[in-house]
Amino acid sequence: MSKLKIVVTGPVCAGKTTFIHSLAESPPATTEQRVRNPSDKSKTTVALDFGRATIGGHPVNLFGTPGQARFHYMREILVDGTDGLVLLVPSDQEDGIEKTRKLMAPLMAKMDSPLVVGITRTELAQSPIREKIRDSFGSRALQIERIDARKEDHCRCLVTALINRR
Amino acid sequence: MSTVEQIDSILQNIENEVPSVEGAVIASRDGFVITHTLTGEDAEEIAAMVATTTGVSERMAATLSAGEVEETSISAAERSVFLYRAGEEGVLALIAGEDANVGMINLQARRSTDKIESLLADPSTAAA
Repeated sequence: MSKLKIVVTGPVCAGKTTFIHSLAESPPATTEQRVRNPSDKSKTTVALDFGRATIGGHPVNLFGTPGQARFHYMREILVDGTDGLVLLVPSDQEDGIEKTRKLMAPLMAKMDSPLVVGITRTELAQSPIREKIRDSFGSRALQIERIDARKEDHCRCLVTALINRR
Repeated sequence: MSTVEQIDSILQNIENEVPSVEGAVIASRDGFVITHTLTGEDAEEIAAMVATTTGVSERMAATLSAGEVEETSISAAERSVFLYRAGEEGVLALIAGEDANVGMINLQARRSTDKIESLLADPSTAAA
């Protein structure tokens, strides 16, 4: 069975590195660097995360992207040849959906692989973000779920949906 | 002289000593410009790429149990880029032309990174 390439993206502080840690069979390769002017987190991904998992019997290579606008080229490099995209949207950031739209626009234009959306950090804010996500990505998203990126079963469900409907 | 001005004078000195060096950027390890001498290029974009490339280099060295990364270089047909760690805070990137003397560039960079490291440890550069 050939390996599937799944890319995990989304704005900063959405839980992308955590998502890959939750699913990876062995500790993932990460490229986190200390943030020079810490605000809401102390470390950030500057290049990529890489982890391997087996999901629904399929061997899967997981690639996590950086979240900040300035690392746009890494997202464009990583989505090349992807079998599916997991988009994580943090619900506790006021401009989370706006940042997500901006980040996704160049990716949506160049890729036609399936997409699932995980709404994260829902315990930190109860904002009506699902409707906004449906408005922005509904036509492309196979599934939109509230998830906790720290929970393996939540992450596994989302990727399973992506693989099954591929 | 401010800390950034002192770093700028170190970069200027490298360019004076090694004429094939066409530009220099000091990037923070999380991908922001601290200071630069570029004229034609987008320093913000280059600084982000410097952080990305350094991150991958260090990760690859760790995976290969290769120890600390001294330098990362990209040799392209018309220009080269050399990246050096400048302490915990920064990365020095030197962009050189076709006729780059790699030995001289390495020598000058290594002489400069210790000074840059101690300047970057000064909290007044944190907002730069």
